[in-house]
Amino acid sequence: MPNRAATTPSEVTSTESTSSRRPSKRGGFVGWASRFGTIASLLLFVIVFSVLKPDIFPTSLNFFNILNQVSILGIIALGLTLPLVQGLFDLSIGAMATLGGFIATLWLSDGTISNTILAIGLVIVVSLIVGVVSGSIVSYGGISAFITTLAIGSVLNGAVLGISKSQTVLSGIPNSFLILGQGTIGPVPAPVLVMAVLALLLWVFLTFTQIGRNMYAIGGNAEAARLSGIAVKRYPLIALAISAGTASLAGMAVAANLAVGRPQGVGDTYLLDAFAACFIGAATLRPGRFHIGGTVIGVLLIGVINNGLSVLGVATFWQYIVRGVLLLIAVLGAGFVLVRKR
Amino acid sequence: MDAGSMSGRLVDGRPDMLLTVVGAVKDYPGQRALDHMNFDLVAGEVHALLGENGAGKSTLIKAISGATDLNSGSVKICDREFSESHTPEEAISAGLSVVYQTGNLVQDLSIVENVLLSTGLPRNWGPFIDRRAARERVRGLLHRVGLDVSPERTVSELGPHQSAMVSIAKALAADARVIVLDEPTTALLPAEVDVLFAQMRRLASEGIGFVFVTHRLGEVFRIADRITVMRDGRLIGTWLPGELDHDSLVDHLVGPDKAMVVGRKEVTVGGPVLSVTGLESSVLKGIDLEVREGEVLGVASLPGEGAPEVMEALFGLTPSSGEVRIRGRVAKLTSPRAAIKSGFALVPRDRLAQAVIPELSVADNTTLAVTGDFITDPIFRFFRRRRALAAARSMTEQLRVKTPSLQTPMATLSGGNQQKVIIGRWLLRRADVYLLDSPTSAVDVHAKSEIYGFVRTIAEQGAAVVFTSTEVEEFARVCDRVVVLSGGRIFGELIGEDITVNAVMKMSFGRKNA
Repeated sequence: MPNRAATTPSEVTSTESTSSRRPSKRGGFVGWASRFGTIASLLLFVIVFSVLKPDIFPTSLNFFNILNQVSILGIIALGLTLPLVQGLFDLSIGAMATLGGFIATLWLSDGTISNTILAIGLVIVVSLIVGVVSGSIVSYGGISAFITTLAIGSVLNGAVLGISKSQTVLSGIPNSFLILGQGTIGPVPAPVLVMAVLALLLWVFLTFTQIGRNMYAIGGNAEAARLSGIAVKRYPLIALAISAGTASLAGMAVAANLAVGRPQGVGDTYLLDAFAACFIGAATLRPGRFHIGGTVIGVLLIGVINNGLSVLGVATFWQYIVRGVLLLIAVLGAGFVLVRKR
Repeated sequence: MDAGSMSGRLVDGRPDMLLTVVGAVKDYPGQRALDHMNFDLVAGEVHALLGENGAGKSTLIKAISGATDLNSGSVKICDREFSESHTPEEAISAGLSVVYQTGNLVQDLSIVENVLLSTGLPRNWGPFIDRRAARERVRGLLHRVGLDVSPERTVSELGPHQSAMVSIAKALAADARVIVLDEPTTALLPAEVDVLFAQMRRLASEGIGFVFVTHRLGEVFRIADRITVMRDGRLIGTWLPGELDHDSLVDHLVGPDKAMVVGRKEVTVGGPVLSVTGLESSVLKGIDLEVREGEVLGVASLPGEGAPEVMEALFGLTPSSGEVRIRGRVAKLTSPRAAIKSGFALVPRDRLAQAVIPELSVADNTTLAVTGDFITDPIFRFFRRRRALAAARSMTEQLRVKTPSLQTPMATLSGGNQQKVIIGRWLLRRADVYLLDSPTSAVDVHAKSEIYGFVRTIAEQGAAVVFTSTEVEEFARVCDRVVVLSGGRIFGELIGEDITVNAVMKMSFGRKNA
């Protein structure tokens, strides 16, 4: 009678219900599927779409088209991977992207800053500062990242609306800035290049540097990391600064792509997809662990589904449904302790 | 025992039996937790249940409360007779209530909601709660336990003694006649203990029976009508307080000397490594220690009386004051990080919560405290993976860690091998002072003996070791010297051959002459 031990007379709580943290080991098909399921389904979708639309889907044009479509999402999701490694949810990335795109175009169009590189750099510095502030509140104020970034996101949304007086920047954006969204190097669109470089940098950072490896240690067991002498309170600052920086970069890429600086509704469309991509990624190769390679797979999977279904002429609503089902399957397959608990 | 000598109330000349346990046997794999244990409780009495850790007290309480089945024997609660098994619900409805040391009450709910949690709140009609009736009912119960606070107060605002009284009120709400109090006084101040005892006495006079579990022998003589001592799952005896004194009670608790052969080597100790003067914290009341190079110093006490607290204070886990020097240099103990920098290393008691990172590899877990040794430069901090792997490999081989590979997730290793990795983590650090808090908890027998060897090796290599454990015989096995604490102060010291299980335990219970 295993459930007997859970309750003792007149007590609802029990002192003996200590659960072990040992993750279940899986073998066979389930084990295989939880490691390679997302990659397999990516390949499967590519094959199916290629068979159904051989003249449109499997072309180099469409290939770069897909990459271009997911590049913004990719930049945001790659940055989001870092806080998620530590178990921190960053909900401010949407607002950060909106803010970044808007103030870059504003500064450049009204002549506050004439140098494009300087403007981009300054926007990134601003976003890093915002990330450090969020991280400080999390580390030293003891407030969960979920709530902190929800609040900071709201503040940012308000700030950009206030600064803009709800006016969209339509003109005066220099061409040098538009390259960030519209330029190409050979066949490769600039945002795709940014995504690729960022993926490489963050992969190196997470995998090959002490700070990145300590992030995994903190995500695995923060108390053990603390008792091993790691300065655990610094790491939320670093992670949230990076996710804020990449979000603002993505926001600038959007603004450059569309050649407008919109003060609202830019980043929010990417927020949930970025989380979906990261969680699909965490169900890839190393179940339960967020990593850059996985996030790339997650982003591509979302891109292929969206592109393929629209190439097939399937109604848009199916894209959402397929994505949602896929996310659930992926997360279930990975045996995700983190998400199930929250 | 002569029934007439009991202080409980009599019904028709016979004692009114509330609880009878006869011939209780409980086997766990490889161990008999209860061995034909007998116990009874009469209405109106406070019956103290005593025993060392692992003596079988908690198993007995679980068997009574229905949380665990017996292999044989019977439990009778008031008029309900159960054979080997009954459910917790049956035990409650028969009139039993257990008040645990921790986790009794829902901190965020009001007293009213807590007290009526198991019985349910009175309803007006349908799902609507009759708040006024609930409040009045609880007010009455609080009055019975002598607690004068508003029933609307949230439990988290209450002091520990008030919480204890609310727990008892909750038991009364369920019409309990048998109330088991599991170490209720641990969190209480002396004046609060007085209040608790006064109310227990009053409720006992109304016919409630208390089973009182505690480590504090002084309290036993103040409140208990009868005293039962358990050891190794067996009944050692039941006495009236007048039949015992403090020393004889300790003798019963500890039992005859356990023969143990310890191949004790003559150790050569060097100069002092750790010197502690006037260490104070919320528990510690001025502790002086000195540990020399090559020495293993044991710090022993009953739970909450100082030994684990010394470890926590030295590693910067709890705020403390006093002077701590390592090799003459003042150590900062503001945080674990500062303590590590000063030269401390801690193998914590709760391996899974405090040491193991389950999803990281064995190699990453081994090098966790020394990642700084493997970086290329202080800016980019690229991690020299190969060097770290080599260090992890030589350390895990040295400690004979059994793992399929260094890349294996830590979670899949056995407890003993995990603990070796944690020890290796700190050996890589080459700390000056190793704080080992129950380093063999939840590891198998073979790994245990290996770990005892490592403890000696650490000391022989010139470090100082401070050791504590929840298993008393380990002090005799690994320590050169043992300091016994009681009530946050140093009570006595044992050296070399004098370190025996009995001596350590007797001192912990506050008995000076062994």
